[in-house]
Amino acid sequence: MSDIYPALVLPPSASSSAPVVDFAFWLVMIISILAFLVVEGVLIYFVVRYRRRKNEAERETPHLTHNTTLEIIWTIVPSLILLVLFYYGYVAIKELRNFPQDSEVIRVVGQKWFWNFYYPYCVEDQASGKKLCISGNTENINPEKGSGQTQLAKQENQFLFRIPKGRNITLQIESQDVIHSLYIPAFRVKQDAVPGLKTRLWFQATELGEFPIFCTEYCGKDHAGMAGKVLVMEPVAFEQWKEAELAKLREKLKTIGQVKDEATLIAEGTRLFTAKGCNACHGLQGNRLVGPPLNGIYGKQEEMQDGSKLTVDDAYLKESILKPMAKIVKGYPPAMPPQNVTEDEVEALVAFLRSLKN
Amino acid sequence: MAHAVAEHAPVSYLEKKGILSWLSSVDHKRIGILYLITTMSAFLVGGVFALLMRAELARPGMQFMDPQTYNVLMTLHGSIMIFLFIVPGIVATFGNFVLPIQIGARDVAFPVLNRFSFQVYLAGLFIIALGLANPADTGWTFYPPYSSTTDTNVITLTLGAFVLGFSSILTGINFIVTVHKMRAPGMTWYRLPLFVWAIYSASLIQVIATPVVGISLILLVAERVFGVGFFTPALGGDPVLFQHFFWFYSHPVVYIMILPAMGVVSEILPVFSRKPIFGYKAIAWSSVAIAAVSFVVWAHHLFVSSLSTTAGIVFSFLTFTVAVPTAIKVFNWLATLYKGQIELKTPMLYSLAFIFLFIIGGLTGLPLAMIGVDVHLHDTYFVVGHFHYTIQGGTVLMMIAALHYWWPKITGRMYNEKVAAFMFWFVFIGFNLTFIPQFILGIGGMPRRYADYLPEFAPLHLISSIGAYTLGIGYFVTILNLLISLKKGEKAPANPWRANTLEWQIESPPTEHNFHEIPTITSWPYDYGQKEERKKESL
Ligand code: HEC
Ligand code: HEM
Ligand SMILES: [Cu+2]
Ligand SMILES: [Cu+2]
Repeated sequence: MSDIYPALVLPPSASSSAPVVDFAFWLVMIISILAFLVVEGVLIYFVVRYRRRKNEAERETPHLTHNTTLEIIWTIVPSLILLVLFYYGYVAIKELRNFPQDSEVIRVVGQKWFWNFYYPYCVEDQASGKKLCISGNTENINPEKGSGQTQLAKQENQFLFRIPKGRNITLQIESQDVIHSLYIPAFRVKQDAVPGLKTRLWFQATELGEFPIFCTEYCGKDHAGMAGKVLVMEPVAFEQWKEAELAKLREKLKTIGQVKDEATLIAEGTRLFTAKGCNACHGLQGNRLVGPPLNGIYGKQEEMQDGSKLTVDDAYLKESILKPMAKIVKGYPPAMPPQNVTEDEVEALVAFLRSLKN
Repeated sequence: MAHAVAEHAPVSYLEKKGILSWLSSVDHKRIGILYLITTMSAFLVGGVFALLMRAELARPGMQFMDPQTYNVLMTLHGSIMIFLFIVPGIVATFGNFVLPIQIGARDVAFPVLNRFSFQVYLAGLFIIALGLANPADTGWTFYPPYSSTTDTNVITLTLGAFVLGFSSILTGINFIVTVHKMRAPGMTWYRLPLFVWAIYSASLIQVIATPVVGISLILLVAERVFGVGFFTPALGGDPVLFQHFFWFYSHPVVYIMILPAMGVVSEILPVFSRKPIFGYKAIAWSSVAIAAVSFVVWAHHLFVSSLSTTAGIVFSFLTFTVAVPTAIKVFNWLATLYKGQIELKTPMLYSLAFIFLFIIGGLTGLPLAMIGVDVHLHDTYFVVGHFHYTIQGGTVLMMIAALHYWWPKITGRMYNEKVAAFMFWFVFIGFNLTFIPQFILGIGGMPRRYADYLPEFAPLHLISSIGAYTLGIGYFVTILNLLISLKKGEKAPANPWRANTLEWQIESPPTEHNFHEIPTITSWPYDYGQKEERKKESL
């Protein structure tokens, strides 16, 4: 894995802002190391020089209580140094938050425990108004048990967040559930994904290669597995990849609208139930998690918070998934966040829920 | 009352036996010891959890536990260490035992309230223990919406922390009033030992900051139980609001932890270098300055959590202003050593180690305070290294120093100096071995609160784990050594260190009412090592 980087010093500097941050970093490191050597040097020197040796008699010590000049100096000098450090920290953040006008905006949505990437590259079917865009997520490196770090290292069938070198990219970051934080060490960028907010960061990659993406805000069980890789490509290669993906989507667009058979829908729904993180809150064995268990729910009589009763049908399930706050099941907190799902995916999920026996 | 006591034969405060006599006592010394036993037990439990985590982290991949177990251990370790050990820590133990004697008082201002603080502490401990059936997995910071949606026992842990907060507030109020009202005749503010100044400053923070975290924890509980939306966006709340509330308390709280440690170091250095403390007023007032400034830097924990860039820059600047009084203290301690006659007894070894490590802790605060650099370092192992150097290298080491320094006074026994000094090196080397690699990991981009990591981080993690076990052995044997001295130790004289503060002018262990007669104070307590006539001249 040393092909990524040896974790001894800063990760490789792979974005246009990285050198600015690194300058500030090395400045404070050098000043700190000098200060460390001087101050610890004085400490050790005093201890060695003035220690009471074995069998040494009591010695007269001077009555030094203060020294105003000295005290003023050691207040002012550190203050000035700190001012310089503050300034370079300021310069670095100015660079990191100086969002360029001309940048591609890619949406990133965090959820337990993977990242979804939505590119602004889409194909559209004029007639039906359906639209498909290039997207992907890091879910496939999130194993059943364990953290995903191991798989990330092994480079097994993982999604790569592809971006072109030398182009300004703005990531618009959202979260579906709890707070996450998107961190790409090689670009020196990090920004929290806060549910209910849209945050952003930008970078321009300057080096080709693969670099890790981490989640740095604790988000529960597989926080350590919420990882992935960014792949910086030559712009030409990136365009080729993009065209190939768009072509695949065009194919897919053709099949949309065609009626799918139930079995395909159920299979798709089964996959989505984990992929979309429903299983984090809903058990399928009658077990209560954050939300109610969903096995055998179809056709059941249910009581809502406001006392009303209803029978679970397709329309209700659809509404529960798309507008979770519309009706709240009695005995449960209104804690289901709005889901990031398309019409087709809802259809598949409903088919899956319909198929579940008690 | 004073003369009535003087007529009785002196009885050690340890004389009465039996659990009940302890639990019902309002004697500040006994309450201090009760805190000492509970907080040190919490330290032991929290320490074992840390060792379990380091065992898992010794190698990449999952070895002994699943990630959820790791997360629970991480949460328990942090919460126990912060809420049950280090916040009450020096303030409630040595503050209780030593502060009243140092100002020439027979007890704190409100002895019954003092006992009540301890009972509240026990209640908090009990509530937290109740939750252990399904322990929380939120981290000690309880960020919603994770904390409002996870199905673990967040409520018991937050309620426990809330109750512990009350204990902390009551103790704070008690000490503030005690320092104002109970000083012996002649004990002017500038004759107070610096330990008293430090506890006083920490108490101020406790009283002002703790209610804020109390309220935010209660709001969190209300959100979980009643679904009232404060912090969860799905309910119309704002998750970042919680972070502001939380750090408005939890940044000042780091100074509740460190100021008392700085107070202890300011006591020990003059005694063991036989020199007056250098820059008394600067040290005293920098404590108060730190207490004040610590209230306006909280958002440096939020640089990447959607805080506006302008606000971030302002908070970055304010954070740097805390570093100045901190640096001043270090220089004053160094100047105290200058031309002294330094006796390397265990309390002094720990104090010197404190200075050594605290310099590293302070310096590593600087890149974190530089907002543009913190974007890279935030929530990585660099931050873990930073706060362990300040809190463990600072407060825990001074807690151990204070234990050895005041042990003869508290127990009337001398501990085994050879063993203590030898184990010091386990602690010192183990500590650096554990946490230096963590700085390097953090710079390399290793995020914190990870149960697993990339293979390239493995060698440093292994070193860190080896260090942690060395450290664990060091602490364990050190405490064992103290306990053994209870039975085997030599009887301690009244003033084994030849110190000037008042607690050393009375018996070891003290009598129930500390002083046979309330002393009248004529000088500050730091006149070491010079002739009588010089002493007068300096006043
Ligand atoms: C953060 C936890 C959470 C996640 C993630 C979540 N839900 Fe829910 N869900 C809940 C809660 C809590 C309720 C009960 C309150 C309510 O009715 O809104 C609920 C209710 C429901 C209901 C109605 C159940 C009933 O008994 O009437 C359905 C259907 C449902 N969710 C489906 C889904 C699907 C499908 C997904 C994934 C796309 C999902 N949920 C993701 C928490 C969650
Ligand atoms: C020179 C003085 C100091 C400066 C400039 C400083 C600066 C900082 C900054 C900016 C952070 C936030 C880092 C981040 O999360 O990205 C931080 C974290 C922290 N600091 Fe300090 N610090 C100083 C001293 C101390 C002291 C004395 C203590 C404790 C006694 C302390 C304890 C902590 C803790 C506990 C955290 C992290 C809490 C968490 O995220 O869990 N710091 N410090
Ligand atoms: Cu996370
Ligand atoms: Cu802070």
